[in-house]
Order: sequence, then C-alpha cells, then structure tokens
Amino acid sequence: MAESEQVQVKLVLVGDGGVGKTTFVKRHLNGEFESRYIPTLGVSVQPLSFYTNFGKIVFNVWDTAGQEKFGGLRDGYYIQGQCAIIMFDVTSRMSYKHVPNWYSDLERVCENIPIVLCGNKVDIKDRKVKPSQINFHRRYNLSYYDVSAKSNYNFEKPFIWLASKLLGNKSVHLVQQPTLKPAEVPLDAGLMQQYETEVQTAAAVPLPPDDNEDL
Amino acid sequence: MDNFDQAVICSFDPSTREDIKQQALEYTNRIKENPKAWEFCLEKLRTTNNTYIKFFCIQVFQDIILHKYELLTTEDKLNLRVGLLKWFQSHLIVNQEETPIKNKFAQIIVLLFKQEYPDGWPAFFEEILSLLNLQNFSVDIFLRICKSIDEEVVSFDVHRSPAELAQNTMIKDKMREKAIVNIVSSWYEILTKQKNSSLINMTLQNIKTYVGWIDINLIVNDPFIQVFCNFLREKSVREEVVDCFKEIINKGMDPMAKLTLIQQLRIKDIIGLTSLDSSEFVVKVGNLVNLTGMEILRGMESLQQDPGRSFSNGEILLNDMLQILVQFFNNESNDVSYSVYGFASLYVQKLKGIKNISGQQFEHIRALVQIVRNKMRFKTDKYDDEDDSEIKILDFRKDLSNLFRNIFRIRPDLVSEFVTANISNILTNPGINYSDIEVSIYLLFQMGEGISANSEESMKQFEKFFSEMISNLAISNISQTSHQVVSLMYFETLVRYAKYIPLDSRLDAVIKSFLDARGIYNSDPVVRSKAGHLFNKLVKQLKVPILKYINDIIIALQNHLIISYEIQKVVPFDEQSSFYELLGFLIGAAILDKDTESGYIQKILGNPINQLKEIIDKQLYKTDTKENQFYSVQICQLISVIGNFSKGFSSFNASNGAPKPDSLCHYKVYFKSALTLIVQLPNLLPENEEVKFKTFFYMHRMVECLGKDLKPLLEDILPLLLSHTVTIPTLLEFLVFINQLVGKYKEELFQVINHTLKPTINHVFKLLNPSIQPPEHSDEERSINELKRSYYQFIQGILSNNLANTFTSQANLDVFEKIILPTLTSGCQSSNEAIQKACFVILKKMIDDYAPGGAHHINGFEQFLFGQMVPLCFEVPLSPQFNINDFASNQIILEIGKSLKSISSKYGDNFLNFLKNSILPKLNVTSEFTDQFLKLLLPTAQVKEFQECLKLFIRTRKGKIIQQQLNSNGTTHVNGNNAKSLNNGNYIGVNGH
Repeated sequence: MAESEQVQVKLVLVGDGGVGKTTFVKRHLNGEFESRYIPTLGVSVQPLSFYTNFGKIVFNVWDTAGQEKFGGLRDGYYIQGQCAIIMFDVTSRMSYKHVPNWYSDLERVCENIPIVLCGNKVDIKDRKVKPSQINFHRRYNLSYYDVSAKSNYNFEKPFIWLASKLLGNKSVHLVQQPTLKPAEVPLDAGLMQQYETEVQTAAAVPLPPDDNEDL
Repeated sequence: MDNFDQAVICSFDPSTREDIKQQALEYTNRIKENPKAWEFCLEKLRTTNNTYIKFFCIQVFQDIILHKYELLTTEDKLNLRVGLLKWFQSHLIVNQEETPIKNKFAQIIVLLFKQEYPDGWPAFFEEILSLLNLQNFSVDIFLRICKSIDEEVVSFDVHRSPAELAQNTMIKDKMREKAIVNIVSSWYEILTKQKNSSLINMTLQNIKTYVGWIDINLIVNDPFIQVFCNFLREKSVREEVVDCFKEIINKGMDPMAKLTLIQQLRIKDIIGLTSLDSSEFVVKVGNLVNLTGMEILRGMESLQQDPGRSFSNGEILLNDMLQILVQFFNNESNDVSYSVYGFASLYVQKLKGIKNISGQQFEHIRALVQIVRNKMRFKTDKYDDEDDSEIKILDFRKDLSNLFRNIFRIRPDLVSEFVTANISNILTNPGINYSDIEVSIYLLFQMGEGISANSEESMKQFEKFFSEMISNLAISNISQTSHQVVSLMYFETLVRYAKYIPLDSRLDAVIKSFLDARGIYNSDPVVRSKAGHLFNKLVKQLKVPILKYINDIIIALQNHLIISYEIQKVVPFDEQSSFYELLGFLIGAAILDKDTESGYIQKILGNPINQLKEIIDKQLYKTDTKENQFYSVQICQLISVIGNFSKGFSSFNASNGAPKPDSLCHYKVYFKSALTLIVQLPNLLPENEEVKFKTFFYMHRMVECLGKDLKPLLEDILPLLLSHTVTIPTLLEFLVFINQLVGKYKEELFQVINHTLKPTINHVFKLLNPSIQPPEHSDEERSINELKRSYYQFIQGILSNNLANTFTSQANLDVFEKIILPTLTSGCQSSNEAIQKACFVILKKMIDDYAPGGAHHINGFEQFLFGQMVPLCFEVPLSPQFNINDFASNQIILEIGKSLKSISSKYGDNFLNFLKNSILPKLNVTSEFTDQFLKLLLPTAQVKEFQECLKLFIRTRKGKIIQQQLNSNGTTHVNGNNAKSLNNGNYIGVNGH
C-alpha cells in the first residue's frame, strides 16, 4: 500500500495509574517501528497500524503513563489530539469514579473528539465494576468496551470504532488482523459471554438520574 | 526565541532527543519551582505566539492557584488576577485564539473565582460582564467561563471531596442571589443580537446546563421561548434548542408544577414547528418527545397518589404525546424509533396496573403491537442505515420483545389474535418474504417467553393455542425455507413449545427435521450448530417420548461422532461433545436389556476407547511437537467425550441416593476400561497440564458413575495423581477431587485418606511458599490465596465427613501438631474473612470430635484449646481490622459463639472457671457482665441467646475502645492502627443510635 494512503492520527490514552494503559499499547507488535519511550516525560508515543477497508490507519498513541501525579505536562499532551481512549480498571472502583475527571480534562483541550471508554482487566475473576454500573459513556455518546490487555480480548474494538468516527461514521472493518503478543492468560469464554450480555442489558436500561452513588 | 521557549517546545515534542529533553524538562521545572514564576509567565503570555508556551504558562497559574495559592501575599494574589484580566482584555478579546488556550484560560479564571468568590472577589461577574462587547471575542470567552463554572462548580459528574461540594453549594447560592439575573440577560442579548451560530450554540449549551439549578422563570418566559422557537427553524442551532427544551422539562420540581410547565410550553406545537428532515435531528426531537411523555406519565402518577390534587388536562396532554409517539415509533430509522422507546414502554407499564383498559387505551396498544412487529422485522433491502450494526438491531429487538410481552400480559386476546393472523398468513402465502416468516414465528416465540411470567392458570388457557400453532408449523413447509434466520427461529420455537407437540406423526416430523439436511446436516454451519444444540435441549425436555427414537438418532449422529480433524472441519469439537452428552443421557434414561444397552454403548464408545488405546500403545503422542500438538489435543478430546457420555449414567438412585444393584450397571465395564487407559496419561505426558485437567474431570465423573467400584482403585490412583500435581491449578483440582471423595465415601475412606494426607499437606505447603514472594496484586499472589482457601476447605471437608481420626492417627500426628493446628490459629487471624470463617468452623468440628465425649477424643486437646483458641475467640473480633458491620464478619461471630457454647458443654465448670479467672478479667468487664456471660454459656441457655450477647459485647467493646481513643486524641500519639479503628468507630457510633 502506498505511503500516501496512510492516515496518521494522534490518539491520547488516559486513565488512572495502574489501570494498564502501557500494557495495553504494548500488545500490538508493529514490526516496522521501534516504539519510542520517553521515560523522563513519562509519555511514550507508540504508532499502532491497522489495515482497514479504508486503507492503513496509524494511531500515534500518546500513552500518558506516569502523568497522573502533580507535575509534568499533563493535559498539555492532549493538544491536537484527534481521538482518545479513557481507560479504567474493572477491579478498581476508584479508577472508574475518576473517568468523568479524565473526560472533562480531555474535552477542555480537544473539544468534540471521538472518545472510547475501556474497562480493562476483565480477565480477572474478582470484578468490582459490573457492566450494569458502567454508563458514563452513554451520557456523552462515547463508546464502551470491556477489554483485557493480557488476553487480547477486544483489543482492536476501540480502534475500529475510533476509525469509523474519524472517517465520518463509515462502516469500518479490519482487512488484516493486527499482530498481537500471544495471550498471557486464557479467558473464560462463558464469563465473557455473560459480560457481553450484561453490557447489552445495561445499555437497554434507562439512565438513572445520577448513578455514581452506588459505587 | 529564548531558552525558556525552546525548553517548553522541546518538552512537548516527543521526537526530541532524549538527553535534550532531559535538560529541557529540568529547565522548565526550575521555572515552575520559582516563587515568582507567575510574574514571569504573565510577561511571557504577553509576548509569545506559541500555543505550547501559552499553555505551559497557564498550567503554571493552575498549579499555583490549586496548590500554592496560600503562599502568595494578598498583593500578589491581586496582581495575578489583574494580570490575567489584562491579558483577557488586551489579547483574548481582540485576537482569535486557539481553542485549548481559550478553554484553559477560562478554567484558571474559574479556579481563581472558586478561591475568592464571593468574599475576596465580590464583583467577579460585574467585572467580566462589563468587558462584554458583541463586536469582539469577549463573548466567546465569557461563554467558556460560564461553561467552566458548570464544570468546576456545578457538575455532579466529576468526583469531588465533601469539602469541595460544600464550597460549591455556597458559591451556587451566592450566584443565584447576586449574579444569575445578569448572566441570563447577557445570554438573552447574545441570542438576540449575535449572528454567529457557534456562539449561539455555546449560549444554548450554557442555558442547558444551568437550567437545572437556576430559577426556571428566568428562562421559561415569552421573550426566551420566542427566541427558541425562531431558532427551531435554523438548522445550525436547532439541535441545541431542542436540548434546552429537554433540560427545562427535565428540571426537578413538584408534579403539579411540572405538568403546568409542560402545558405552558405547548410541546406539541413546538414539535409542529420543526421540520423533520434529517434523521439525526429527528432523533433529538424524539428524545424530547420521549422525555415529555414520560414526565407526563410520572407526574400524573404522583398526583394520583395524592387524592387532594389533580391536573385536569393531564389526559389531553398525554393523548397529544401518544399521537406523536406513534408517529415517531413507527419511523423507518431504528434510531428514531428507539428514541421514543422509553415512553412507549412506560405507557404500557402503566396500563399493566389497570384492570380494565378503556377503548382508547386499547386502540393505543393495538397500534403499538403493529409497530412492534414492523420494527422487529429484519429489513430485506440492502440500503439499511449504515450505522445500524447487527448488535444494535438485535438489542432493539430485545427491547421490542419486552414491550410485546407486556402488551400480551395486558390483553392476551388481542395479541393471540394478532399472532394467529400473522402465522396463518405465512402458512397460506407461498411467495411470502423470508423476513415476514421469521418475524411471525419470532412473535409466537416471544408469547411463550411472556407467558412464563404469567400464572399457571393463564398458561393452561394457552395450551391449546400453542399446540395448534406448533402443530401447524411442524407439518408446514416452513422448515424447507432455506434462509438462516428462518431456520434458526423455526428450531428455536419448536424447542420452546416442545411439550405442546402432539406425540404422533408430528413429533416424527419434528425429529426428522432436526436430523436431516434441514438441521444437523444443514450446509449452513450456523444453522447446523444451532440445530445440534437445540436438539440436545429438545431431548432433555421431552425425554420419555424421545426414547423410542434412540436407534434412529444413533444412526443419524454416527458420522458426527468421529473424533478426527476431517470431521471437525465440518462439525466442531464442542458440537460433537454435546452429541455424546445427549446420547449418554438417552441411553442412561432408557430401560434397556443388557444386550441392547451394550450394543448401543459399543457403537458410541467403541471408537473413542480404541483410539485412545492406539495412541497410548503406539506412543503416538511422542510425535507431537511444541507447535503441533495433534495427539495431545486428540487425547483431551477423547477423554472429554467419554466423560460427557458418562453424564447420563449413575450408580446411585436419583431419588434417595442409594447404590443401584449391579444388574442395573452393566455399562460400568466400558467406563472402567477407559479409566485404566486415562489414569496412565499423567505419567505418559507429565508436562501437559490440559491432559491432567481432563483426567481430573474424568475422575469426578467416575465417582458418580462407578460408585463403590471406584473405591478400591483409589489406593493406587491418588498417589499417582498427587505426584503429577506440580502446579497450583492442578493441585487445586486435586483438593476438589478429595473433597468430592470424602463427601461421597465418608469414613469408608479412612485408609486412603490416612495415607494421602501427609503427602498432600506437604505438597500444599511447598507451593504456598515459593522461593520468591510474588508481587502484590499479581496473578501468582491471587492463585496462592486461592490455594490457601482450598487448603482450609480440604481440612474442613475431612472433619465434616467423620474422618477426624486421620489427623490423629500414628501416621499423621506430627503433621497435625506441626502444621494443621498452627495453620488453624494463623487462619483465624487471617485478613481474609472466608478463611477466618472456615477456621472457626473447623474449630467447632474439632471440639465436637476431639473433646471428651467426642467420637475421637484425644488427650491434650484441652491445652491447645484453652491456651490458644479460646483467647483467639476474643482477640479476633476485637482486633481493629475486624469490621463488625460487615456481613462476613458477623458470620464469624456467630461461629465463635457456637464454638464457645460447644466448649462449655464439653468441659463445663473447667471452662467457665478458666473464662472467669483468666480471660474475662483481662477484658476489663463488670462482674454483672461476667455473670450474665457465663450464665448464657450454660446448657440451659440457647445458642442464639449467647450469640446475641457476644455480638453486643463486641459491639459495645469496640465502641468503647474508640471512645477512649477519641478522648485521648490530640494528647497521645495516634498511629495507623488507631486511625483505622477511629474510622470504624465513627461508623459504629452512627449506626448504634
């Protein structure tokens, strides 16, 4: 595929420390690029390529690891972000509670960009944030996916959704699966099926007026 | 460009060289740390053109305002404020600035406002409003400041501390009192005088977010509503206007006021003003219709509960909205239709509560049923909405089904008539479209789902109806329709109504359709797989009437049972596995003579057993490599299918659990011959964990299947299995298996357990203590914790099944003293409540068994009990970590209560004196309490009474400790533990009153 057909997109990846942002981006094995890690700034930019029916899309993922604390350039990294992933850890209620704060910081710098919410670590049996409790995304038209970086579960889903939004709501699918590191943990297929059903059921329930109370 | 500029730009650019970036960052950090950084940055802001530098400067202000504000002098604070406003005036108002800068500036102005308003900066709004000028960019910044106030002060989405919330409430109150009228009138001025649609949209967004907490009359008045209505005709701003209406209606208020407001707004006319030309906009309007309708319903319902009040025009309002509902609900686009689903659903919900619905209401639901059917029907043309993904359509279908079932509950007559008409239409109309066929069967299916929630009686009422419908389907040509969705729905519905299928040629027809090219031999893999799965279900549901078809079924399935990669290309393994299961179920359930039964089993198990034998005899598994696990995978599959087939067989009576006579267990010989092969496998493939898991699976099955015949084999099998459980997951499997065995064979297993106990426990402790401690929250740590829990379950299992004497036998006594008892005391103090509880349960069992009068009395137990366990019974619940309000902890107290009662009944006065002289004095209790406590421990008192007393004691005692700490707080040093119990204490204190 000719270089000119590539689309380059800046993706900002945010979320509380320890939710697994870096592990998530490192699942993708690009082969053609060396990942550039900038430890002093704690931001690592990793180009992840996806081959879709609309050509090759490269997401330059700005993994803002380590920037959760006071100091650093924080929301400065969001400047010119074209899309974003907010990640939390389904085994940590606090990390879900902070999602609105991340969202509000993102919106301030990059108004109206497509954003995906991802609940990571769904492979862990001891899940604290249940699908029925996840509805922040529905208030602001984000998309939501359960993911598991360790088992590659749903890895490509957020990127496909973002690509579709960036291309103007076109129906996007991959023409070639990304090369991922082999799964480190097997996934309980029955449990994932149950989560998927729960995610769908939750989507059908009317939004409560304010739902953070029960967390 | 100076050093500072370069440093900032470098640090934002990920492509800068590592060492340079390091320097840049150090430089900018030094600037940040400088107490006068804000002065420098104010100056920089004036001179630079670079976005990153401006952003950095604003971040510096942000850090100061949020974290170091108190360090500034009053004069500095004022200078900072003046400097920022000056930049606002001299730069932002006259230049078109980039969005991140404008928003970030608005944010820090609001952060400053939050620090100072109202006392330190009473004229905040006057100052900002005085800068407004429609000719420049001031309006833009003003609107962003309003938005930022919402984000930083109002919005409940963002997580805030209680102190911040209190401060926010205070600010809002002040704003309502002093400022909001002026803010709203400047919005009005912007709306009426501005032509720029993005500014108008921002203003509308402000109104939308503020309307919930300001006086509604500031917005709902003729001038504003007139402006809104005018904007409804303008494409660029109309969506935000509709959202404003939505938020107005959404505002929390008294139901009477709400209904009056809706009437006053004349939503019906407002919707009449909109031109519904783009589906995105129609969805927005649909949301408004939806909310309005739901609010009317809710308002009317709350008024109904209050007999003194009524809203006379409620019905008219509702009917108006229902008319609009029908129109939107039936919209071609699913998004539009879905936008009003909530209203439709709530309306039907309300009708469910009415005994006899009116003619008009009947007409409404009649219209809704038809729409539900229209919307459920799959679209056949290719030009569907692009964003209608399959999942979304199926989700919507689920919602529609809910609505349909609720309507069915309200008027079953209406719905059954409707479904009959639909079904007879597809049966008599040869050229009909597949999606019409599918949706008609789907509706029939959904009726059954709805009726299961109805009473038995109404079920009876519909038996004839379902029987007639399902018979018609069974003998029709529908099953010949070669379209995936139809086939799936057809089979699904047959199984749903299986018990209504007449047991004659119609059942023949049904079974045939499952077993030929329409079902499990279908060329469409989805249909084939589903048919197989559903056939399994059908067999289990009908059972007896199917038994006479056994031979036909075996013949039909024969091909699908062959475990080979060739067959699995067509029939995946999990489908094969389910066929084995269903055949086992059928043959196990049928009462057959020995020869017929053996013949059938031979036909089914003959192949897999031979295959397994061949792989073992010829050592074929040795040809496997790491990449190509051909035979190892096949071994696992073969064990699986034999095991799954065995699920149909049991050597125990289902009704009373008594062993069946051997004359009814001829099947055993097949499973035994497989067993002798399978138990060799862990030895032959010691590296393969999967094979071990499968072996355990088969062993579990054999306990049920072989019954007493398994026991003599265990002496050899258990040591073999144990020697191969070298990882935590396999060891967990082993412990589960032991628990199953002791539960089944109880004391008969003494010999076996007596020999296995020591090596098992040694094995557990080897894996519990790895040479390198796993990191916190890691998977390794999790699995070690799991093993700990399993270990205690294992100990508990042995004690519960009358095998306590295996612990104290000559062979194991040292393990008992050196491991089991110490782990009991440490487990009681574990931070895991499940383990704590298990330990106290274990304690109770040991008392029952080992104390005088128990089945396995041992000398010296008393010392352990009094010396270690009795003190723990008090120390554990009184420890600061123990949260008495927790359910699990409560359970632990109950267990402790049982144990103490039990000790008292065994040791009598010895124990009571021990408590009185050694334990209770240390707890510093009154003599009245001691008397009461000891009295309740006597056999005359109920366990429950004592448990209550103990609970109360722990509760008040914990409260007291906390009170003491509270009193001494401030004078004495409070360490981490104390702080923790302080929190607990407050909680208890509040609860206690």
